[in-house]
Amino acid sequence: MRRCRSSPPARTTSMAHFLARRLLLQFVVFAGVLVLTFLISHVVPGDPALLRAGPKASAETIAKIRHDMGLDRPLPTQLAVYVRELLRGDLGTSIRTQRPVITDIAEHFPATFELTTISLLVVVAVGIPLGVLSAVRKDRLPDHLSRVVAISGVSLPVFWLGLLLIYIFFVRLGWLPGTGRLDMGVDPPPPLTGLYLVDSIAARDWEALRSSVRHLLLPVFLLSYVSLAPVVRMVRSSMLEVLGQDYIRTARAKGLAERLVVYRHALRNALIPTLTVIGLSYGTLLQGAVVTETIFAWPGMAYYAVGSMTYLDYPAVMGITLVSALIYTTVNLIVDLLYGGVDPRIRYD
Amino acid sequence: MRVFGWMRAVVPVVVVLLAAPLPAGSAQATPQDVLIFGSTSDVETMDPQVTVDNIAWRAIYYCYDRLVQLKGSTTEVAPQLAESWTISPDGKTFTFRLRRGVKFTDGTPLDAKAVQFSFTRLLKMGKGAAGLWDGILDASGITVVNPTTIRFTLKTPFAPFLGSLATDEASIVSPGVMKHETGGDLGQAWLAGNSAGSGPFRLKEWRRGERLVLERNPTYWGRKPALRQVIIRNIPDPAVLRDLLERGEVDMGETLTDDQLDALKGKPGITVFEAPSFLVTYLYLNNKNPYLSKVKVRQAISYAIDYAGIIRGVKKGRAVQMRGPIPQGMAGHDKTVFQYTRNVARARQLLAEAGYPQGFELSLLIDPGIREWADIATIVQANLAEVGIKVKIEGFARPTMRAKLDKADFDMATGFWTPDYPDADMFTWFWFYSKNGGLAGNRSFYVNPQMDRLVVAQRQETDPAKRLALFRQIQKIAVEDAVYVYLHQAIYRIPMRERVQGYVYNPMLLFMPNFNGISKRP
Amino acid sequence: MTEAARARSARSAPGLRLRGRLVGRWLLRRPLTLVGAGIVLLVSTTGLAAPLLAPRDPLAINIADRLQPLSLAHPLGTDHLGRDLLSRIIYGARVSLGVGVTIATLGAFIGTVLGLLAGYLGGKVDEVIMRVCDMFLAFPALILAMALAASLGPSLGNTMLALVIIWWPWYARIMRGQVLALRESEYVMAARALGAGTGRLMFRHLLPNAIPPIIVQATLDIGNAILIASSLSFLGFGAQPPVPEWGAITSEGRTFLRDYWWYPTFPGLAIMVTVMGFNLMGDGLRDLLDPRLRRQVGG
Repeated sequence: MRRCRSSPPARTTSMAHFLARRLLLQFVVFAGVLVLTFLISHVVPGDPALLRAGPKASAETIAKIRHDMGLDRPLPTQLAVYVRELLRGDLGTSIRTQRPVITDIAEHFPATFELTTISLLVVVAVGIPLGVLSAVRKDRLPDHLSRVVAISGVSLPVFWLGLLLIYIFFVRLGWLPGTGRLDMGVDPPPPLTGLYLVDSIAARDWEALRSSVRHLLLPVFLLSYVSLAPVVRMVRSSMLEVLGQDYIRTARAKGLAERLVVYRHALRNALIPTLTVIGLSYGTLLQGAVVTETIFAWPGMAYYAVGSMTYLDYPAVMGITLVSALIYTTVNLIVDLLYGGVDPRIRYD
Repeated sequence: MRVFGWMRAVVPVVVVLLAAPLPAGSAQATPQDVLIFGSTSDVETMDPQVTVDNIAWRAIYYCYDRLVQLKGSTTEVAPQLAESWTISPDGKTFTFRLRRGVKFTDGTPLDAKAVQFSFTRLLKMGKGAAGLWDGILDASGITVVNPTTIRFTLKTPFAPFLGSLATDEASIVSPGVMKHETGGDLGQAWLAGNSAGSGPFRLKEWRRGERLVLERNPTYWGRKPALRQVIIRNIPDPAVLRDLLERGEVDMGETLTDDQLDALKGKPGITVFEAPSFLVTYLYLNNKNPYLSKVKVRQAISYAIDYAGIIRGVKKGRAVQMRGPIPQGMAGHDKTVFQYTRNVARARQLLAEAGYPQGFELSLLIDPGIREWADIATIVQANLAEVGIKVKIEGFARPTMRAKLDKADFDMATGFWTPDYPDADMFTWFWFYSKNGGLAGNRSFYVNPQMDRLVVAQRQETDPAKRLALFRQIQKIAVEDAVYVYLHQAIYRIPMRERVQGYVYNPMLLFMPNFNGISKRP
Repeated sequence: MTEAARARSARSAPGLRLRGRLVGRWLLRRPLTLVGAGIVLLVSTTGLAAPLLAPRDPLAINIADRLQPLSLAHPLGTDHLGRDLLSRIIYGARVSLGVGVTIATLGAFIGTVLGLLAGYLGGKVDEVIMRVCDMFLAFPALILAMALAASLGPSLGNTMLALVIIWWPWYARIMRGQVLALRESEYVMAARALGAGTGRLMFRHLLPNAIPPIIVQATLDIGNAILIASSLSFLGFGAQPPVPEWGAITSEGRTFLRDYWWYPTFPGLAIMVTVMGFNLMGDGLRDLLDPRLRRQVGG
């Protein structure tokens, strides 16, 4: 069903049309997200000025801070100001850290990127073989086992498993470090990309590299385990579908080795829908990162987000929401384009 | 079928990386001239003239000097940048003579002009840190007499002024910050992530959420600290922090729960320091609520609460029940004032006398992020249920909770209070003066003209004996009127390795260990 | 799933006509689905009969008995305020199930209605509803829920509100896909030709036929909702003390794990088992509805 065919001639124009439409939609959706986030963070009973003002502040101090923060202006004006600044690439100043939100996000992003990217690689490297195994040995033990692995992953409370992992491997066994990105005595490598793996290799700092690999093990295991299921499920069902096709039977009839049939013919075609799921897994991973980063004190964006939320630091909250919505929708867009690119039957409606 | 073929390539690499030159990973001792301090909360900003957070103060305090300092573990004021001072007889003018030849770490000379700049910046920004001097000092009251003399003229006499100059908020910031000013922010964006003081340390590196490194100031004018570096590591999970302390990877740290401290105590190589503090926990009873406006209802609540149970269950016994508003150890504390203890029958009787034998419903506002409050609320809810008062616990994020406190939009709420300067004024004028309703301090919105007269009088009284008598009267009324539920005064506890020497606890500098005096045994 | 993938699976779902025998055979070949259904049944019973099953009052404080290990008096020990953990976990089943069912039901209801309108009316209505859907789907769900809970004040009610807001667009999309597929089907055409009005068409003809995949999705989502709600409670954005919510109990017990392992372990285990039950059951149901697999089962 889902074989790659050569593109019909009319494809380019429909593709361009699709792209334009998608980008326009992207914009509309983004504007909606902006307004909604703005409303959520501004129509609140809390008053960030009071937090800034400290525990024993007088009414005048509070009023002045409120004015400085622009909180005394009408809501539409505040929104207009926000959009104007946003267009200039300014996400405002964080109430908590007193720094531009964009600086804060840029500083916290690499940690999240490192954690989620490595986890995604693990998800792909483990999820695809598991899915194949499951399909090839359908309804037999390997299939059941891989289902249990996948389903237990999506059923686990991430926070709970994280606590147990730290308890077992750090507290009890002492094999792995507990939280953070580096051991207590290890100095971080000079900042280059903010990815400690890359930075420590660049600086030839093998101690930092070793320490950061050790610190990555538990959070990556946790995050990839809980994100595994959709990939396994999609590979399995696509493989099952493809394995039932005529051309596979033909290949088998020709006497091709089973391994060759599965990998050369079946998997290649089954991977197309899997691509979608992998793209979306990135969204799931970002989601899972919220709890993972909290448990492992991983100083990434989600860690920053949780801190900002409890502080009602709404410039930060808005910045984070916008940036993650942007990442999420962009990944979806790319996946949709790739998907359409390889499967001519997908209509862009 | 082999589906995990890739593992053959990847697994050995990871194993080699992990097993490679093992510097005995866990049992590694920290260097002698570096103190690794584990903190369960992260610093928000390094600007001393913005923040009012003890955790930030811990990192900031020793990067700066102040005109005066607290002597050792006492609440006595001693010279620091000011060598001497004079106070006018009306208590309104303070003249300080400055130490010569001091420079900020950025090279700017620290003279009267710099001090003036620093206080002007503080007052001009008007952030929370300026709150202490609200209505007492403004920029026009700060005069440079000559390069080594500065004069402060207060708007009203303020007995605790000298003490307030030893707080973190009174840190002297270098005029050099103006080189980093953007958009008229007086260098706020820059100073939030840097230090510009003249203290024994300066900020070397800060990776937010990971670690903050203070390094010895090589040009410090005073006694050089023994420590070359203080690394404040962010370790939010107290369970992990406890383990790192036990293994010696962290030298000192806070905040652990009392249960964890009890478990840690007596472990080889560990000391848990304990001393009374002025950190008090109490309940606000909003007098604007029709039920709570009645004295008998407030008294009934004060009788219904299981003080001992809270101290045992929430603090593991590491607290002392308060008697009245002024804590033990603070001059003015009256140890004869009546103390409420749990008496359910009396509470019921008082409620009946107040006209509510059937009880009623109240809300209890907390910030659930503070574990102690959540537990106290749970116990209070159970206690009050026994006398017929149904309590609904309402949790809100801190900013929301504060807004509600300020607008009197609550019935009861939990609260902490620590004094900024060592004076019972912090527990009386702030708590009971009717004009301080809300966040400013009178969080029960208590109005009593007699009390108003007393709390203002003690502020202006210069005779210590007469002042003590005033405080006695204040405490008596505060307890009889049951303005707040006075719960307990915490015992401060901080764990450290036995190697850590020279730690001095000052109750006014809670959560701010004296990094300048600490050293480590080999 | 992407729009394309969702629509595809949704379109293929309606004609669920499996004979009972076939289902029975299929179930036997999938013991895990049976296990899942068993767990769901068990947890639901526990939740419903909590007052009968719980040995003690889940809110009764007894400081003298704090942090007791497992014993006959307290089969799962006690917490730091001396409350019986078994009783709290049993009542927790009630809380968690309530949360899961409420979110899934409300989300499905709102989504179904809007999806039906979008699919049937088409045009501008469709465009607006679907763009609003896109908007909500572009949000990282947990972040939105956290922002809402932080703004409105953390409570179980606000958590549910936030999650319903996040959840309904999925149903709207499934429903719209269903309606689009059914609208052109012969019997709807026939009904229209016989003069059935819009309302009648939508609610009498389209809705009942489009509903099975919604129900399956909702079943699956109960588990998911329980999981996310407990995560929010763990992070402090959900249930407030002293509500015996599993995530909140785990969070309270977090610092006690080392010396009193039972305290955070059992509530977490309860979440895992329950969510797994819903997932195993839902996974089986999903396969049952997937025509690609049905062909294999039947063939």
